[in-house]
Amino acid sequence: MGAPEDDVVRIREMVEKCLRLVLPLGSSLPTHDEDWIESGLLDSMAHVEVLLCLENAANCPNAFNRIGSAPITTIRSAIEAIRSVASSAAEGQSQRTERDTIRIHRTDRQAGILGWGIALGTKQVSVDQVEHEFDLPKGNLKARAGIESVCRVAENQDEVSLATIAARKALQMAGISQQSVDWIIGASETFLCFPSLAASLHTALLATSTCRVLDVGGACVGLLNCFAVANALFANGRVDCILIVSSDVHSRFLSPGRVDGEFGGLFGDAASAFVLLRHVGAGDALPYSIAADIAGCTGTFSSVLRIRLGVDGTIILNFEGDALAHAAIDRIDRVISDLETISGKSRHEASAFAIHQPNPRLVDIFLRRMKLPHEKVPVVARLHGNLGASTCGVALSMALDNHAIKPRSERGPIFVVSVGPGMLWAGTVLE
Amino acid sequence: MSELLISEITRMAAGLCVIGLERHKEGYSSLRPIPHGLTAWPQFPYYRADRMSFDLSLSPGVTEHHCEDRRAGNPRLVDSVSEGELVGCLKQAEVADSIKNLFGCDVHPSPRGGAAVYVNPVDARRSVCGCKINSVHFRFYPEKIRVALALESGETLDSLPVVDRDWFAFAKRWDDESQSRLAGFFNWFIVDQIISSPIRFARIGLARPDKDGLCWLMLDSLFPLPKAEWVKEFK
Repeated sequence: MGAPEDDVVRIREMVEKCLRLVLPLGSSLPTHDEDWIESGLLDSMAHVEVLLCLENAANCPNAFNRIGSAPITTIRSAIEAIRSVASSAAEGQSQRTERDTIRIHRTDRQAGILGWGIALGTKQVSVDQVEHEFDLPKGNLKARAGIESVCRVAENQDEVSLATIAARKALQMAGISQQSVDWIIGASETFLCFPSLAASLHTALLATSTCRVLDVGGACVGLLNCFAVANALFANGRVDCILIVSSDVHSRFLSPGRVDGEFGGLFGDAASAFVLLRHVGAGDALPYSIAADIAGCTGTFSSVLRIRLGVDGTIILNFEGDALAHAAIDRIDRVISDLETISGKSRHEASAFAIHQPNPRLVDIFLRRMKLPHEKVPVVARLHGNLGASTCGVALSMALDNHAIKPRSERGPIFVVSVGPGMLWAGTVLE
Repeated sequence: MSELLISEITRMAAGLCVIGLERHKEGYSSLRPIPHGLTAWPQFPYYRADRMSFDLSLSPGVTEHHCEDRRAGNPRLVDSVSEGELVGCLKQAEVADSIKNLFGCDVHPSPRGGAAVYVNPVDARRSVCGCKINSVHFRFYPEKIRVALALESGETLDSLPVVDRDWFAFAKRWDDESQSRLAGFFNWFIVDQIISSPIRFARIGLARPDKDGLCWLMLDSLFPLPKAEWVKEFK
């Protein structure tokens, strides 16, 4: 966290924001030392909601049911409690509670994104063709989901070949040899083989034998999970360069006859790659780096999308499109709000939003709800389909193409947000 | 006269809310007896698993989401069954295999940033339903308890207010203890007792619409009910 006085101002804003959410519309905020309960401002149910909201906003789950001393019933006590939790976490003291560990949400910005690249399936397939293949009524996908085409791999392409192309582009842009990579972290929801995606990519790139590999799950959240893992790995002072890759070939997995077209027809094939390097640049030459990140899992909505393999290799799919759409939009909205609080950066300052795009219609709804201009969200799903973890990757890559070339003082942050089955959610602010 | 097997006694602002099971050919269904001229029972000197008789009549203001409401008078204790028998009857009443099926509609995340969920009253088809659970986690706040439940469906309800009178009274005896000690005891010893019980079962209720018109989910009952012998395990 920043200077102590900055913290107090930021935390106070956080506390007031949580109070405003619970107080009746038009009520004035309590004074610094006004007791929320005794003054009759909040009933005990609303009080719990404020505490939960604060835990959420400060990204310190279970923190306030742990504090056995003075109850948090004033703005002052709330600020002090949050500062105490944050300072304990920063000092590395044990803050383990029954379910969670306090997380330091503002990161140390140890590494910057120096290179990025994407690889799209080379076949552009029109939505008419997709509807025909899945035996859907003409106009179904276009009208309901807003998709115009999807990109699919050619016969000679797969997850590894896409990942290799994206990785080479990213390494080239960063000016880094594959021999300098300390870790390769991969995410794929369709590459269900061993050696895994990261190991296969290690071989394909001819990385050194001491370059470590790691595969990370999370489906559509996979890329953001990779970023979180990479950021943590940089705590090891000997790690200087990490290559992150996402790659998915949905067209061979979610194919006609295996899943309904209203689900399978939404997906395309692609890969994305990012090179993170320790301590590079200064001042206006600083590259984008992770300024804040949050993530979690909300099991309440775990049943709206479930995919598993049956014993005979068939795909068993449970897909409640409307419920998933509502839950996803709500969650993305909330993640962005929380990222604003944590990072101190407003959505209106952002240069771009690299958000997951299950389909273009949801992006439209999201933009309307958030009152954001269309040009701030790179178009991915409309032309390429839902690319799984690579949706965020391709969107982020496009955003970096536009904004990373600008001096740091002339560009805004990039919000990267995704949701996935579980319901997993994650958000990162790059600055 | 109608006979109800008392299944829920829950705390609400105006007093106590009571729900009982009415037997019919196919099993049981839940009814909520409400005293004439009141919105809740100021006192209710009976217990869950008591079989009681009431004079019941259709409540004039009954809504589709709180379709169980009945005006009730002349409550009389008939006899009692065991807790296990009560849970057996609850499993023959309203039971859902998913969150969506609890009230026949989707739930929505709190717009206030917490992990509580609500339903829109116009969507809900009932206001109480049972479900099988795999795990539970307690959280304590001043004067309030919240639980997280893992349902057998693989879904979770992460922040349910506990309105169950018995669980609340059980925890209340440790009012002077720190919340962290209390949470430690509940989330290790008590949760072990619940998880290992053959009658573990939860009943989820819907609160009446709040000032914003939202019906919040809450924990009406958690079985097994707290046991006096567990108290001595608190160290």
